[in-house]
Amino acid sequence: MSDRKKNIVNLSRTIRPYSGEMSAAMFSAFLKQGSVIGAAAITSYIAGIALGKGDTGNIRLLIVLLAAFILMRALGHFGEMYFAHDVAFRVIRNFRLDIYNKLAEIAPAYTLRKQTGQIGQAFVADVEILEIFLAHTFSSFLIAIILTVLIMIALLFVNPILSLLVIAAAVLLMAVPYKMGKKAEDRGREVRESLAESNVIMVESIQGIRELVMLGQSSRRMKDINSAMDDLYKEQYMYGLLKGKQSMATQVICGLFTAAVMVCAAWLVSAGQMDKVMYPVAVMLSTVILGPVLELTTVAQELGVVFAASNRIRALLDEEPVIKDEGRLDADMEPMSVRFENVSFAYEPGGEEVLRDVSFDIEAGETVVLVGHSGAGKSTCANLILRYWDPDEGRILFGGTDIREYSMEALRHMVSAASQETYLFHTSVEENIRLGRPDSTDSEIEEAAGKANADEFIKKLPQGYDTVTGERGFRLSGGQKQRVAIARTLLRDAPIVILDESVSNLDAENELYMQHILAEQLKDKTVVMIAHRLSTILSADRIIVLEDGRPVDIGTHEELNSRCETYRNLIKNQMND
Amino acid sequence: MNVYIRLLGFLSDIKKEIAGKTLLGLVISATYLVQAVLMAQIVNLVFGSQDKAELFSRLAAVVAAILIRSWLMMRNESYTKTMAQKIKGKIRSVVLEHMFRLGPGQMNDKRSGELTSLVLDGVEALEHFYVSFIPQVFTVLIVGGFSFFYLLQYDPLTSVILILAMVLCVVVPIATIPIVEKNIGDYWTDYSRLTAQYIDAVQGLTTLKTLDAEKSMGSILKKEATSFWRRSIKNTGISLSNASLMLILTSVTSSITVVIAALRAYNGTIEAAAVPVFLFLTVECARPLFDLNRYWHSSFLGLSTAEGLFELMDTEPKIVDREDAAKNGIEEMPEIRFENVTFSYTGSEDVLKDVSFTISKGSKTAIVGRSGSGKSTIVNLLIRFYDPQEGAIKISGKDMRDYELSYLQSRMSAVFQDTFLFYGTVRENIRMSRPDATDEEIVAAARLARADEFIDKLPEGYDTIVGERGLTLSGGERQRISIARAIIKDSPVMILDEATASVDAESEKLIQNAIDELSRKRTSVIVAHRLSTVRDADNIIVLENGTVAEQGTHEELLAKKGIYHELIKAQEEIKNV
Repeated sequence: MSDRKKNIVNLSRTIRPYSGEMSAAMFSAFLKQGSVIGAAAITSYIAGIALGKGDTGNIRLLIVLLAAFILMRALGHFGEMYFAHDVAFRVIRNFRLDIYNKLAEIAPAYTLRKQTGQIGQAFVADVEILEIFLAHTFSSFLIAIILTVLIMIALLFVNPILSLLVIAAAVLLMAVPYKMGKKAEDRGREVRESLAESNVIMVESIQGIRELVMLGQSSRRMKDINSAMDDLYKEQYMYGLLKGKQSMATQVICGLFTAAVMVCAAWLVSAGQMDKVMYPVAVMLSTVILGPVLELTTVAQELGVVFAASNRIRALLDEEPVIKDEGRLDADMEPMSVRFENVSFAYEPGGEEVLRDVSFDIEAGETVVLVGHSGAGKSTCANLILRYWDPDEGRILFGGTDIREYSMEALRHMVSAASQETYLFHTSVEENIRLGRPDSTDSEIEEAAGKANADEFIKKLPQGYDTVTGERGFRLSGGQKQRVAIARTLLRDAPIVILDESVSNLDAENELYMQHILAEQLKDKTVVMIAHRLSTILSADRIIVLEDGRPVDIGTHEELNSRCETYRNLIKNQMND
Repeated sequence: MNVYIRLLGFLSDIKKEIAGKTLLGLVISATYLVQAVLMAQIVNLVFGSQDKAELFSRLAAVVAAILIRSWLMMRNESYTKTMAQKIKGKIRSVVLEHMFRLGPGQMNDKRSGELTSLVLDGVEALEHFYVSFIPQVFTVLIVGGFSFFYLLQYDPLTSVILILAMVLCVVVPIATIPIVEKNIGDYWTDYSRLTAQYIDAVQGLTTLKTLDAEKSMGSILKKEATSFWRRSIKNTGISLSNASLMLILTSVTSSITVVIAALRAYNGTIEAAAVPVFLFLTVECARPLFDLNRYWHSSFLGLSTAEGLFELMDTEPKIVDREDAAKNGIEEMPEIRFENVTFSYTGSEDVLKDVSFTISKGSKTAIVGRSGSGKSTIVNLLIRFYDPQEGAIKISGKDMRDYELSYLQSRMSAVFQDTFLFYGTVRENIRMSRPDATDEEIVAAARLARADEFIDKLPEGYDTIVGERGLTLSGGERQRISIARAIIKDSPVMILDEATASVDAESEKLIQNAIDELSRKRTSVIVAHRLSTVRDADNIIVLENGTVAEQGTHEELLAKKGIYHELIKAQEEIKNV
């Protein structure tokens, strides 16, 4: 099956649950297009009667019919658009939710090397593009075919030549986007690329305004912006020219069709094969019966973009999660040991191994810190404990049980993590902390914030705990964010806690406070920290030194300082502070 | 309504294009009108003499009109696209230019988020108003006027009915503006909120997963998306009712008038030959009306964004040059004095209270204090992103506000906590501060900034693309690039907001060395978050709750046993945990 067909089948499948609404839309569309033709026929027939002094006996009936067609056209238009949009909005909603759920399933493995913001943005745009197909193309496609066939059959009774003319014109019209579509599609892509280019410049100018001003670049930047606009202008011109050729071809076909009908019908009248009164009807109809086909060719031009979008969405939805949630065990909330047993791991199959035959034990309730140069595999260890990935070889055990035997949900309850890049959502500080445990009360949240030494600064925010944070809200400093993240973690109360660089943004006083508090709050927990700062390293019971994906030594600071060269190198800059 | 008039203001920038497009539209309409008149004559000929020669000459003229129109429509298409680009480009550049005038102080984080969506999507939505709607208004007026006067000779009564129906077609949508405005305005707000929320969720997926909250976020999204669908379908209903009403009106314009003319002709009140003229001309009157209505609908969305646009444009810049602002006078190593400076971001709570201190010529001054004590505000005032409400900051003995802003900022370099990198190569990013810097100078600056080592290790070295869509650098690496920028700029004043972001010990040392390099032979101000970095400063200013608590050298302050001593003690303690 070609890609195109596959796309149509896939998209049609998403509409199936709403086949009732879709049928209503199509029926309405049929009504609309039929009424347009009917109204034109009646109007011109009445004109014909007046001209030919024909029989006016049924003129009242005709006028009533005309009024009915006019109303039907309006109703049909309403119905078609209403139902088609209803389906489109619903399917789009479903797509969005499916995409979110899929991303939730495959994150962070899928999102690791991509900017998640861009992923979100891309899919929002793609889903929107589908609206064109769902709300506009789908019904016009069928209506165009059905109506054109019906008209041809009707015309067969009047005159086969007229019928032939309609077929010829319809086929020619359909051929236009087919013939010129490819080129236009390519051009269209180029336009979108330079559009993206100019958008980046604008977004950067807004986000980087501080740097631009301080570097005296404002006016230079304006020049860049304007020249990006000029480039886009040129692209649009070329694209417009091509699209213009398309609409020229369409116009010529429609116009010549009308002229041909006029000649043909005039000949029929003079040959006595057609009533004079019907002549205006034939001419008038020649200007409207191609309408449905014309509508179709217009939307067909956009199909390339629609299919590209649907391909991207489909590819995502077909993505397989890297881990299989087949474990059955429920969460065990007792203090828990963590054990790495000959763990090897590479992010890409066959790629460079990030961890090589790693084995270590962390006792229940122990605090261990992982140290090493960047790229040594520290964060990978954390990722594997969180079971974002499974090890390629070896296994990880919690309290002696392979973590794959727990259900993912159980694992989530057993491990909580505050990472280096704490993400705050666009909602109140309170809600951001509550994410740690949705059923917690306000006072529990304040208590957790208090323990994380965040209560004081939160109360000083413009709206206190109700202050909206996140990218579009009140920006917290790195240290404040980390304290919110730690409050979340405390609220979760999981037996295993991962702190990935999560105190690195705190100033000395806060760090000191945090160390006292963590020693108390997390004393029953198994804590795995990742840290650079000596002060943090010193607060751990044991230190695991990683180098090139392997633990080179494990021990206390004193032990390692006396025997481990790698460790000494890592901390030497901080020792003389 | 005011908004519409103001939107028209932008038209003065594309006068030529608007005129051209309108002219094209008119010529296209003229070919339609000529064709209609010719077709009416042909119909009359068929009913009358059936003279072949006359018939074919008319037919040839019809074909000519069709061909000319087709060609014009091609031009029209590319014209429309380029014109759209021109007006959007113009509006965007005006808005961004205003943003630069407002400066980083008034373009706070919240604003920049809004501005991004306004400049990208908002302006995009304005296209239809300018490019389709406005020129169409002229077309409707002229086509209506011409048809009216042309038809008057055939039948005054029907002509008057026609023109009245046409006027209704224009007036009714305007009358419904308030209803539509309200609903569509809400729609836009809802829509952008939902999209933002969606992207927020996708961006924070990893965080949600570690908190086991991705399912609850999923159900929130589902609820929001469902209620958005309900609202959008309601809005679609409202806007469709409007459109359907318009359809009825345009149908009346094109059908009922013909029927009236036909009946009058049948009764002998008017000549029969008038009927075909009405038949074909009224169709041409309805066509531009139909389009006008369509364009009006596509304009709604844009019009609702216009308010946000003008709100921004109406914001007066707070930081403006005085008339006789100086363009010189800042010495090579100037003295900077804060004299009784009081400042508040919001107008309610003072962040700095009556702050006075002196940064002597060529000295290295450090500003320290607990988080929230006002350190970063000092930076914002020094680079004049804000002006103090009371007191003055003097450089080389002169109030900062007496210097021209661009001159003042050209004499200063600032290294921020989190540096923004622009999409482009590392080399281009460094060169930004002095466009004429040679490659050798750039490498030398990078070396001094201790950045050359990591740059050399990048895939393409200095030609590696960074920034959005490019390689992501770590916070420490970004800051060293920023320092290299400052070294190239070689300004007499250097202001550095030390990064709190996590940098490993090694980079921290390197950054420290880079800062030492930069502060040589300049007046430098360092906002320090880690006390170890400022021990050798000539003067340390300790802030507490927005006031200067104490100042002096490291030794002097230690001896004082005040706040500084406490801060140092906290740091020492961490190490001894």
